[in-house]
Amino acid sequence: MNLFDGSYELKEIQRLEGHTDRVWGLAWNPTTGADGVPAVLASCSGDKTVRIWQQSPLTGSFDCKAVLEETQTRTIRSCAWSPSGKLLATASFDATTAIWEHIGDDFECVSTLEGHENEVKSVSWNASGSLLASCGRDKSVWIWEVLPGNEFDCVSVLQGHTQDVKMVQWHPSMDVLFSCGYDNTIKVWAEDGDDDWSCVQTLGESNNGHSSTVWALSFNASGDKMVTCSDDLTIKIWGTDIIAMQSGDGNATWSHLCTLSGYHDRTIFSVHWSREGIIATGAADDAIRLFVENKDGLVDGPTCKLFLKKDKAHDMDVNSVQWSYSVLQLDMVYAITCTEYGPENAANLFGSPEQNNPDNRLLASASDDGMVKIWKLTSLP
Amino acid sequence: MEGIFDSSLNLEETHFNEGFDEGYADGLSSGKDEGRQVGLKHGFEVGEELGFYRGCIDVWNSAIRVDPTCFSSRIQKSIKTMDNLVKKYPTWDPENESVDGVMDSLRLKFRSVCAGLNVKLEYKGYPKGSDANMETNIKVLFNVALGSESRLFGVAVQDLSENVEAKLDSPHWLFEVLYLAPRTNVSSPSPG
Repeated sequence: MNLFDGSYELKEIQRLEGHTDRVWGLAWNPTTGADGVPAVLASCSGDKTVRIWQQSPLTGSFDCKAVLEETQTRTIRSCAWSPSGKLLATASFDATTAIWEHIGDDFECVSTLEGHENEVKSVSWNASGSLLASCGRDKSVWIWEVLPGNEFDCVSVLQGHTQDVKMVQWHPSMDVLFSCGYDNTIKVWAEDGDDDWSCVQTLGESNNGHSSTVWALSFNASGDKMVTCSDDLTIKIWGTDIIAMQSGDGNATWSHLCTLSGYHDRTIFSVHWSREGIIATGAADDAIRLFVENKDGLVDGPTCKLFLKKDKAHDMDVNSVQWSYSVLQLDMVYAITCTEYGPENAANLFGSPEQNNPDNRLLASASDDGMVKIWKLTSLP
Repeated sequence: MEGIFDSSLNLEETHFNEGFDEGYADGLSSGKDEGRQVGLKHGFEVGEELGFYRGCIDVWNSAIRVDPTCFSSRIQKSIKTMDNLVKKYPTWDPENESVDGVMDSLRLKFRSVCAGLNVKLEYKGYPKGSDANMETNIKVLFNVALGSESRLFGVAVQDLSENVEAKLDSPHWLFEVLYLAPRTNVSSPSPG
């Protein structure tokens, strides 16, 4: 049986109520949700707070464990957990990025990063947790180095975007940074030694890119593909030669693979690629859509099919969709496949949902209606 | 025969040419004057900004001479880079195409040094992005548009400006806010 030939539904597991204004961003703690560690989700909002939700191991329901407030004075636009799961970075319209540490049962603000002229829109940790990137309305992208003792050192201030930068995202395995925004482009930033970061590629309209604001981007499990979503009502998939990229080949550029148009009729604010290969989008039409990649279409390059649309997922715009992290087994499967068949095959096998059980996989969504919802992808009987 | 009427027939052209020459001469001199004024103003601004950075660099360098460990090596390196950029700036060659690039690099390095030192220094004449100006204008226009209502809807106005900086930043939306919002329901500004 092919998982995606059957009928599936996105089942609402729980509504997380508490925020008093629109909810902008979500982040699952990457070290939770497996091995008996209860899943932890952070949500940030226009109400100037971050809420930490923890799943009860007994009932499976989420409870608000902490409210992070009274540090940032305006909308908190984005939040991100460090790979160790110990630190949470939050980006605020008050021009600061705050770093919170989980100490005992409490969260303490251990550092505040200042430098942006105005609204900070997004934060992202690199794979090793040694670098933090932020971006904002001042069109700049900042890279900070994480030093011992919760010290953060500004490594570089990058200018290149001609408008508001909406999102920064590190590559899942390499120290290459991606940013996108209101100037309709995606920019790739890399270090050419000794703190010198520069833009190595710009994906714009002339490279089959977007014709309006690029709101978000996300990578597949193996990091050789990237999906972007835009105000131009399309999502686009980009690919690179990951082996060349890993070997530090400067020619390892990203190129357009396919465009999914005709599925959305309002702005797409959020896109997230699950490790099993399911792409979720959240849009201004209040709906959540799920796409799956067709691996057979090798001749014409990859194609994607819409296999589920959840109408009225929220009462208002869906600002963020985030798949929870996989159980540890998935990483093991990947590691083993990598050793046995090489990374390329691992990517193919790993991308096949039959190999892995996505039943444990939860999707969280956040909306202008002030609600966070937890969903589960299940097959219809 | 034709000769006697030449001057009358060409009267219009003659006057036109005279007027043109006069206007051209006047335009040339006033244009030069204007150009000189703009050049002076711009040159002064560039000089002032370069001088501001020069001053900061000199103070930082003095501090480093007194205590070589006072700043991290990364910051010291950035200060050194700024120093070289100021020296490199082609002050006497305004048509050199590298001027903008050098100034941009200087501004970025300055921001990174300030962030590293955790100080808030700002060159007063630093040109804000067009967005920033637009944002200010929008806020002013909000208040003008809402007039006395702005006091009644104080909170709503604040919400509106928060939205301007959020996702609803496309021009057509601004139009809606500026021209339609005051007439419609101010307390629910989001067009979705």
